[in-house]
Amino acid sequence: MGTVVATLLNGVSYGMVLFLIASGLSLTLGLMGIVNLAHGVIFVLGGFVGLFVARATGSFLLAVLAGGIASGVAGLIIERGFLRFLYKQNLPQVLVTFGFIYILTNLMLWVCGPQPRSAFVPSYFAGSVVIAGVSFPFHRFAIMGIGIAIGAVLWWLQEKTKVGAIIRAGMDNAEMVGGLGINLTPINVGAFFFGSAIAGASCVIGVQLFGSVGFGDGMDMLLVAVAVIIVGGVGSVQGALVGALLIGIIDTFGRVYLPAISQYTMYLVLILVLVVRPSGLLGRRL
Amino acid sequence: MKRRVPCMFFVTVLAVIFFATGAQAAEKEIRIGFITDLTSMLSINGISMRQAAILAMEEVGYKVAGKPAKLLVEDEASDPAIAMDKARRLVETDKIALLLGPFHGGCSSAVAEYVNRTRTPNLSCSYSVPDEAQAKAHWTWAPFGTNNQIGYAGGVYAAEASGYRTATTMSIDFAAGRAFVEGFMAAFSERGGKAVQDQWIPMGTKDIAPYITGLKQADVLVPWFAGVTVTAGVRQIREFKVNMPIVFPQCQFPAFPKQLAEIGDAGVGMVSPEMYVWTIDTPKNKKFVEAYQKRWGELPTSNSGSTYMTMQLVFEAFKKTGGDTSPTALAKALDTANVEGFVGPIRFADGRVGIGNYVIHKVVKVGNDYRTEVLTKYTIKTTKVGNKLVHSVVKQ
Repeated sequence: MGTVVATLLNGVSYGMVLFLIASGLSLTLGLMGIVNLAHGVIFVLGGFVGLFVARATGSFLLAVLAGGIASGVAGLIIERGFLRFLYKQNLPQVLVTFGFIYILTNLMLWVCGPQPRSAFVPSYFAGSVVIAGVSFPFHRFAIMGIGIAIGAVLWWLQEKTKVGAIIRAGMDNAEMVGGLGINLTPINVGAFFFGSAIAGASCVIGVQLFGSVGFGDGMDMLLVAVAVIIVGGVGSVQGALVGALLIGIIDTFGRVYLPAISQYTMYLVLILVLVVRPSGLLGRRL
Repeated sequence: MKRRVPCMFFVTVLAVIFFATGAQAAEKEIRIGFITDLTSMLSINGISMRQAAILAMEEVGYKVAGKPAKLLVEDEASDPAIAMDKARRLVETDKIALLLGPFHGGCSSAVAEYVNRTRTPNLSCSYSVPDEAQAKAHWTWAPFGTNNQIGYAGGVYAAEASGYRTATTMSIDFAAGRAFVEGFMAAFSERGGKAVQDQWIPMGTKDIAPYITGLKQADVLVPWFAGVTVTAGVRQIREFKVNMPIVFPQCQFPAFPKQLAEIGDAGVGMVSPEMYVWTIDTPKNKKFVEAYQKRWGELPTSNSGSTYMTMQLVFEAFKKTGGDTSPTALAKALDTANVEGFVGPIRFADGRVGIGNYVIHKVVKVGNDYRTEVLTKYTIKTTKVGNKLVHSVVKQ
């Protein structure tokens, strides 16, 4: 019983980190149709900057903000400098953003060196709780709480505000929104900044769970984030949450109870969803 | 048209002069190729290896056996295909006499087959590859032994010095990881120990909590993590308050001063075998540490120490051949080389595998500083039995 409870908690906390990473990617893909392969390395960049600030100031909140801003600015530079000329051109987008994986990774290697950075766990998240005989780190509960809070804010922004309504309308029919006299450019720019900023902030938060972040982690995280939005559905906060929790929990249970195929359990979910509901569990129907 | 003819003539003449002088230079100077990871998951190792190799070359003034020498360093990016391309270029275009590296196990195995075919003397600058791969690598010398060999040293320590009888293993599922753990368990079981559980974590796994919460109780936990994933693995083990002592079959972090500081308190008390640590208390090592710090502004890692000693071995081999770069002469010189290393003499046994001198060391905290303390030393010899490599302790 203890193992089942611990595995479930591990799965939910892991799923929450996946949700935070995937929600930003889902937003930019859903609204702008941009395939941003640099999202993973933007996530890592935020982590490196955030952890530097955490050590300098001792403040977790400042670290999350700094990580978010650094990643947001990096995303903004990529969008304004390159991607805005490549809307609706998927292959050039893939090539440009793939190139940025190498550029940003090598910049980080050059500036910060090859050492991975250890997580910063604030004193108020330190310690552990014994649940069903298993010692469970408290910061994993904190990550769940932060994930739910950010998810709620994102849902409110997208579903209950005018900007959210424009974003949703833009996802469905950008030409029609433009025809109504709404300039989508600032919305697009803001969404790209915001999506990248969430990735950076989520690295500072999520690295507590992983223990450390290395400059090469971006690609691994990108793959999982893409799987999450395919399962959950593109452009939907709820979809990203459901997809992330489903993948997080199934992947974690697979590692404990089906170790021989644990590397593939996430992809089995992916294949099943693609066969049964190609637009994702909560995505807009294709 | 008239203008084009003289232009083409001059270009041709320049090209002939360029390639002719290049070929002459290649004949006169000794070229040493070096492939390691400078930009990918093992760059934490590779960069410190390059630094040590450059330091060694600078100390001899880029002259080996009275001839000018050149070090050509290439990046493998932990990708066997890239490593193969670089090896081909170094051997076929740059005409190197000898190749050091690659570092990543997959890259080493890929290149070993190529150097066998081209009869290029090849030296590993670390505890090379698994036994199985080294047994087939006829032109690869492994001065610091194989993956299984250093793991064996860890197993001897766990069973003999610590008296542990049961072990639970948890390793990244990677050829090197399996070899380190197999080597450890070979020594451990030969001394009456047994494994109560083996867990293999797929490469790329970020959250290892499911494996930690599933650990079975034993006398000792034997974990292995690859390259940069060590920091994450060690921290997660500590956060879940695992109450078993930890002996790694191999682990780089205690021998990487910057990584040791990065892991902090989570690493204290962990024990691991290693081919070199900067805290070895000998005049020879103190001199090296001082020179390394002066040149690079940081302490040497285990890979710095092993690469520096590999370079000494290379210099010794060229000295023996009198600067002859022919593969046969170099092979003979390497087979009989004997260089005093930081832990013990470096020389080769069966299968061109080094008689490994390893320290067992433990992470300690002194004030606010994290250090590593040498507990004991083992010499592990490898014997080739048929196609297999078998390890045993050499009594001192």
